[in-house]
Amino acid sequence: MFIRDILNNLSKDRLKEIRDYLCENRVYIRKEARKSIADGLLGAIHKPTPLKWPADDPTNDPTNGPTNDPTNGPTNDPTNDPTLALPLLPTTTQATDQLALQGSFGREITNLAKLYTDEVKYSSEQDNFDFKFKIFQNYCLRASVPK
Amino acid sequence: MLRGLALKYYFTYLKDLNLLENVCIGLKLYFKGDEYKRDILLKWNAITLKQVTA
Repeated sequence: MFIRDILNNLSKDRLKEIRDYLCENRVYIRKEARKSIADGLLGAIHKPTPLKWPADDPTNDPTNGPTNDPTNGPTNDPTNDPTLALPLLPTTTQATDQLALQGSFGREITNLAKLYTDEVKYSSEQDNFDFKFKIFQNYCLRASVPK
Repeated sequence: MLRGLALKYYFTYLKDLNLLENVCIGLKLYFKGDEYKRDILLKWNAITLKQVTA
């Protein structure tokens, strides 16, 4: 629980950095729709044995080696061929992150739009922006829209 | 979520901003900035007892 609090307090960019760093170093962090990065990290932390890199994962194993057996990893270490492995990794993970961001939260955003009425929208006339923004954040929380 | 003038202002000037923080700052600067305060002060100063009692 303590670790969850720490992870939840981190910004999304920071969580992404941690996840990308772990992926670069052959620790597979599961990416799931409607689950935060923190959940993926927690899943990896609490697993007694590290997750195997799935063959169908779009980001694939950074080593480009056999994906099913992590013990084979060190022989195909990216240090053997740094010119090939290292420049490719950030672009592929960023692309999949963007896809995950665009494609996965449609349902949540639809729910958020359904929750909204004209009265709680900010119109600038006799409205307090901070108050309306807090309402927006609260509604996002209710509709489980990630930050 | 926005409506009315705020929505118009967003689509005119702020729609290309990617970060929510920047959109908030843009809206606040326009609707709660110096111009807005001066406008409110003008309206306040224009209030007369006659108007209130009428």
